[in-house]
Amino acid sequence: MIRDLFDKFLLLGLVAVAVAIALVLGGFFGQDDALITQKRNPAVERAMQEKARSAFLLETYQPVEHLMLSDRHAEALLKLQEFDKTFPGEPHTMILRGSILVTQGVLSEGLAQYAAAVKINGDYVDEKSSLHRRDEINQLVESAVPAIRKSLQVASTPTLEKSLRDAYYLQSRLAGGCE
Amino acid sequence: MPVFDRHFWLIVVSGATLGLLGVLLAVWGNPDNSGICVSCFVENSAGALGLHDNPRMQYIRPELIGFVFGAILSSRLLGEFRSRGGSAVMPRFFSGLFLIVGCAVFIGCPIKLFLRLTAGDLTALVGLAGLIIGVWFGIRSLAAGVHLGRSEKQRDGSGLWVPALFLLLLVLVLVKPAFVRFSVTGSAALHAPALISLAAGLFLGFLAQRSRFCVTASIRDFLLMGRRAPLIWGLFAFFIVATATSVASGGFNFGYYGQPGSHHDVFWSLLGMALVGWLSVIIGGCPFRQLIKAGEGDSDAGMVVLGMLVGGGVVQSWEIAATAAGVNSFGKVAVLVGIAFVIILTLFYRERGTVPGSAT
Amino acid sequence: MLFNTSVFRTFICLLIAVSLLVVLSGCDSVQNRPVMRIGYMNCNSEAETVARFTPLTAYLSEKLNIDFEVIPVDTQDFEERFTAGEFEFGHSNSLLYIMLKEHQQMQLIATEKRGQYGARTAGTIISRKGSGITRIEHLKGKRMLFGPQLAPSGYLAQYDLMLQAGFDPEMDLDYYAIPHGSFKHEKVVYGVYFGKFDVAAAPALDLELMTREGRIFADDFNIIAQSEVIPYCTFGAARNVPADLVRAFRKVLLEITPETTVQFNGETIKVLDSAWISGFEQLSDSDYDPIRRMARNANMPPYQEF
Repeated sequence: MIRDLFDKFLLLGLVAVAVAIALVLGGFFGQDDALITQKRNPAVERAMQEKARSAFLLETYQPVEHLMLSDRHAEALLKLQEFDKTFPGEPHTMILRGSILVTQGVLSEGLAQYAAAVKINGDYVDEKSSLHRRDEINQLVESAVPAIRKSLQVASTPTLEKSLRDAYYLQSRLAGGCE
Repeated sequence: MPVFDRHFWLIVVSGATLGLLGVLLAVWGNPDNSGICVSCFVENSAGALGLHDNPRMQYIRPELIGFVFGAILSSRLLGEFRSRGGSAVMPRFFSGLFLIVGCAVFIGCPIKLFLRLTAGDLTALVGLAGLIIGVWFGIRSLAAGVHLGRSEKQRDGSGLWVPALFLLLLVLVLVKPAFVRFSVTGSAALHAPALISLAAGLFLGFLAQRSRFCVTASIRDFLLMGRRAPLIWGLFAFFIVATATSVASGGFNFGYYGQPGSHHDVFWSLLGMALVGWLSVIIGGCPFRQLIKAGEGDSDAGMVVLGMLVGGGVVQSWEIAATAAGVNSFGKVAVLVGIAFVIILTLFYRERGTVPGSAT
Repeated sequence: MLFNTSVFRTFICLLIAVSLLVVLSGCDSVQNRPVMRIGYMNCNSEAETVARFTPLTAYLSEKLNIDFEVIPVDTQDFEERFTAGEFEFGHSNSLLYIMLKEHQQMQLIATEKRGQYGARTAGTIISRKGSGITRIEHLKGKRMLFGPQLAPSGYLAQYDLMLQAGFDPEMDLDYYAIPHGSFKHEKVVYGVYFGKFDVAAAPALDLELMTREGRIFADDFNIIAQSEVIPYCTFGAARNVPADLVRAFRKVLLEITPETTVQFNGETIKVLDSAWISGFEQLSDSDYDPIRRMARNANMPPYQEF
């Protein structure tokens, strides 16, 4: 491959570039933000962002959760109406509403809220997330699917079919997969 | 029946190992039914490199690096590494992109299709039907004279660029600089230990390069030659070993509903895999095989791999990828555009003259 | 010269004849459409009822090839007018459906969806935050506002809630009233909000809508109790309406989506939006049993005993 002076010159240039890269990465030309990786560990930053988001949601929605724990579900639902205005489209509103509706026996609307929340934010079925509600959703799906199937055997309605699709969707998300 | 020679057994061992490690990698931490999924891994890696911003799909999968390096190792050891390429470069790039589109709409590459089947996921049956249909169309296209051109020997080193890219990816996995993203939640946060993934990838890459194992080629050869084709036995071995490992590991869940990483839009699953099958036959291999060939110095396959990487970014950024909720309109349009692409490719690259190799 | 040719004259005559034929054949097909009437229970006023439900009615006419007429009907007159055959289809609250089912064998078609409970609703008893009234026991000697007597979620559900808690509204309240005029449900909420009454029977849906619109805040009220969920407003058909038509009517309703439109007075109108509803659901008659239980418990029609 190395035939003449020109080839040797090119090889020398390649070595010089390699040395220069090593020197830049080694900080010989000065440290800058890009190199100070220990201050910006991306994994830690990501984890902090996730924790901060979860903490914000849990704190903000704490009044609703308090009402739910006190069995004041009707007031909790009204409070969630206000959150709909403050945080439109926020999946945490949907998942809490779904939980209340299921408790009150409104299964189809409750399932729809759960499915909508999980579609937007998969953290609710992710064990690694501090927002996860796997057990709650698992219990819901395990009771809902046989009940809906039984009702469908009596009479098939579009609402029941949609509820079953929502339940299957949640079941699939609980099972895992690439999402 | 095939000839039961050394090559035959190498194929069987490759298929069996792929099936075994495909399930075990899920047991060791990869997402359920996705112990090996080239398309999902490419999407994850694209996300890690910043080609899309889905925070749940960002991780450089060491398995991909292992496949390429295993192929390099095997081909170098046995003198099969040859820099070659130069045939229909841009169509191959876009073929790679549309391979990922088809896989993303189905939610899985052909390897994952079989892993899903062997885990009891009945929704994968439709994908299998689509893959077979696509492969059949590919065979018909080849028979009709579709030919992307002969790969030419290239100057030394040209086949090393894509392996060099994967070397860079390996450095990024090990060094973890700030600009590389790693998911903390979602499917990309589920992974086997990096060294185990890399080792498994190396071993599989080595075997696959030696045996030339390829899922779509197995189906192609079966359609052409029946049981005489050795590759189909590799696929059988994959199926049997993967099923047994699934059952033994408790990951077998027979049914149509509630399966991980699956949806019920059957028509689009079929179409997505048909696109993958058709393209794979025309360009000479499924996504996994393209990685192996890239490791052998084939820069045409390297272009496909680059197209796959870009496709991995596009399907997430443009919301083409299907989810458990189904295939949205963007995904449907993307698959249809892919079908149009492969039809146009077939039309333009069809040799119509009587002299072999002469184009219209 | 052209206008003098006999060919041209013949052509003009033919054109006029064909046009007449087309017009007349069109008229003929419109005249052949059967005419049926849908009685819509007035929530607040006739004008509001007509404005809300005319586009939906036009859509039903289009889909079923029947000329449906909108008949706005006051709640108090609904049963009488339905019995008199003034309309073949009815849209009313769920208590009226039960009354008509019991007395006139009304056929259930579909239930309207509105609000977060979908095709259901509930009745609540509310008090002003800070009033100290947080349980039904605290209602003793208090002044209460109810909604209209035939409102399942504005009167019946709350009456039943109190009876179940061992509280007799007739004896244990100091005084109760029903606002006069329209917008009764909102008036009961404002009655408590402005301190004119201690407690009120408010439908959960109205609380939801008023909170969503910012007219009240969730923190302004205590919800002392809420009934079980019960079906919301309901479409029904007279017993002599053929079963096929009932099925077809139901199918049309169930298939309406938020994007469904109808051409009305030269405009394209979203059917559900104009009716202030989010869809329809097919419930079974047994889903209305909670209201039957409430009505029996409260000695309300159709089970009242004198």
